[in-house]
Amino acid sequence: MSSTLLTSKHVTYIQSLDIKRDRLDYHLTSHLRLSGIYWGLTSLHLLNHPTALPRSETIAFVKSCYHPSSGGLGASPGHDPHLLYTLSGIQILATIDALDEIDGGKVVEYVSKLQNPDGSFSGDEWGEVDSRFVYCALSTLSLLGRLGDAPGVSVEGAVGFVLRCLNADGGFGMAPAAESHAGQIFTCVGTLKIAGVFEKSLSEDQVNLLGDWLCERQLPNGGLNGRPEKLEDVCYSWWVLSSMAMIGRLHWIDREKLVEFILSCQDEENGGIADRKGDVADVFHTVFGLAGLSLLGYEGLSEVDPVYCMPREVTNRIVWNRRKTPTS
Amino acid sequence: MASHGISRSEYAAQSRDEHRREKELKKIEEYNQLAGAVQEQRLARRYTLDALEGTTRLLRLNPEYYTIWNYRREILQQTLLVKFPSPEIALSSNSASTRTHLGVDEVDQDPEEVGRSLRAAYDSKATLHLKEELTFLLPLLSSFPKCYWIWNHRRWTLQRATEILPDDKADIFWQEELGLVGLMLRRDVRNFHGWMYRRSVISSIESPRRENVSNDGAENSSPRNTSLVEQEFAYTTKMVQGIGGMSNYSAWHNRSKLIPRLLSERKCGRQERMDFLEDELELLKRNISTNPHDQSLWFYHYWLIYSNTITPDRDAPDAISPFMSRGTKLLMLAAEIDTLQDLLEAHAECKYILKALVEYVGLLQRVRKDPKDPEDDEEDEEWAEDDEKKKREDMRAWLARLISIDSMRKGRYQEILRGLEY
Repeated sequence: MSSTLLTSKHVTYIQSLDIKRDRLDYHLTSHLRLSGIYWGLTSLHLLNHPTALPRSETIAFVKSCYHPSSGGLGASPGHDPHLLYTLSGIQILATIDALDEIDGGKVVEYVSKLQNPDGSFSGDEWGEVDSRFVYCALSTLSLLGRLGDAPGVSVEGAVGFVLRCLNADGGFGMAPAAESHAGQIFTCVGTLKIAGVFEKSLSEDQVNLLGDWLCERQLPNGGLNGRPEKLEDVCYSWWVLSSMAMIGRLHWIDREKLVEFILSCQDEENGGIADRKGDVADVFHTVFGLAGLSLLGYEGLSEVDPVYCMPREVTNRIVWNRRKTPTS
Repeated sequence: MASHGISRSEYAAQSRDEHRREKELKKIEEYNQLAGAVQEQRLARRYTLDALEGTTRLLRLNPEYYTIWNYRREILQQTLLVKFPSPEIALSSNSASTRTHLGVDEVDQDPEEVGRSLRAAYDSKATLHLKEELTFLLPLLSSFPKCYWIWNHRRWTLQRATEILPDDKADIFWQEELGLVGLMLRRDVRNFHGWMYRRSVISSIESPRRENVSNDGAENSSPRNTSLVEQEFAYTTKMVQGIGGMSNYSAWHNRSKLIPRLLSERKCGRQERMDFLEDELELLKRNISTNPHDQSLWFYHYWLIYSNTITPDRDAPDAISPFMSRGTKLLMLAAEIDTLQDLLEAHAECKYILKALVEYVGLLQRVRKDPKDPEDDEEDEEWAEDDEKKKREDMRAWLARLISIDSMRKGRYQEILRGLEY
């Protein structure tokens, strides 16, 4: 079991992802390819290897997922547009400073059309509603610098919807009345942060309650789970930890034990991080493991922005520095 | 790309096994062939039963392929689950094919009679196809209970029933669906997709549905409003009383969401609300004393105590008994604290008891100082001061114990401790 971060192995692992075409999983996961590239790219930036993926090919792939008729992006060429992949595409372009490669106005149009009268957003034209999609919408708009003036978008309505997802245990669910879940807490707190209304939306009691719920997610082995009475999983090193960072309660858990847990989930032979020790690594758990380590101040990693899950240097450049009053 | 719980050694063994590798390569070829063929048909805008069959095969191999679910819905909307043509069109001469399709050929009959039999034939065919679709989804849901897209498609299929069938026939689908969710939740009592889906089925049954549906010739569109809150509340009671049920955080959560509506629909007065709160506290007391290490119970207990003692700045739709005087609140808190202190004697190392004590004593002090509660009594104040000092000492001791037995969260406890100094 490794007690240090295997940086060069992880870089090689991510670079090799696109050539594993002789494995069935590669083909079965084309429905999330664009997100996969965002996870890989973000991992490489956090590992301080920002140019390890070929820039022009990355841009070309993002553009091949773009639907000029609607303005949305799908997961792979030929896949339907969806807010999940629209955000991934914009995150990729923002990270490599290539937002001008795409018609941002058209993307804004796509996002705007998906807002419902109750403030929520549907994931696509088929109408599934989830607090995750509010986050996708607001994150996309803000990365495009269009949060304040997206035609037809009510940020206030979006915030209202998210606050209706707040529960008595301090957490947030996927819709009003739905049980609290760490992933949903990240998206809801993130939405409030992006909208710049977090501080005035929750009372101190509510923040403490949320912080308490979040810190109780740490299990004796150091790992974090996503809901009470569930197993630990590396991805919650992001969903739980980013939320704790956003509400200023990172010090409520045991840093060393969590670092140790994440490191123990590395594949020492081939690189990459798995959900749990001894399992197959994948790029999803790799990025969330690395981002978690970054929040914990692990040496040698670039700083991650807990609101956007992107390199801090990028979000400072295109979001925070452009705001008159920084909110995060 | 996002795998959960697949063992690395198992996976590596697969990669080394030549025979299995060969099989995998063959599978890849077959899968890509099928996926390519289905995508090609989509691009050619083919909405046929043959194309539907392609999506069936592909989705069984890969239910996460969301684009194919979209395609499947497009096909269904134009083939098996097409809307009933409005009566005028159905009866006009160019609808002969529709009639033949529905198996109605009596051209010389009274137009109204023909209209009715066309509709009846349509309804029974549509019912059959809806059932087939739901049957296709059932094994997929059992194998992939966490796949969002399958749950979405199931919800869409039921909504389609509402759109294309008369109310009474669509209702049967929704009612039967409750049975299925019950089954899914028995298999995995914490599946949040299952709980989410249950709430959405319930709200569909409860709310008047016809208003959003375009006029498709369905008669009997009077809106109804049938509340199922009593039934759902009873369901959570059953869930938390089942084997291991008290650990069912999801059920306790749902209960906390149902109660405010339950009490308002029961039109409960002050006394009834107070009684209700006491009953819930009693239920919790019994459960906690047998299982003090259960987080689910403590979450619910804290909700009961907090929401009924602290007057929030905004409206408090949560409180079960929002009209309690300061004295009553203090009595309730003192009684709970006493019970917990007794419990602590038997379970000295139980962090949840210690945490609750710290919280509830904190609440006690806040209620006492709350200027919004108009009940001042000199004698009470003097007693309070003495008591306060003692309680602060207790809190320090409990926090010190928490720091040592739950050291992972010591940052939290130290912060509360520092807050006590001032």
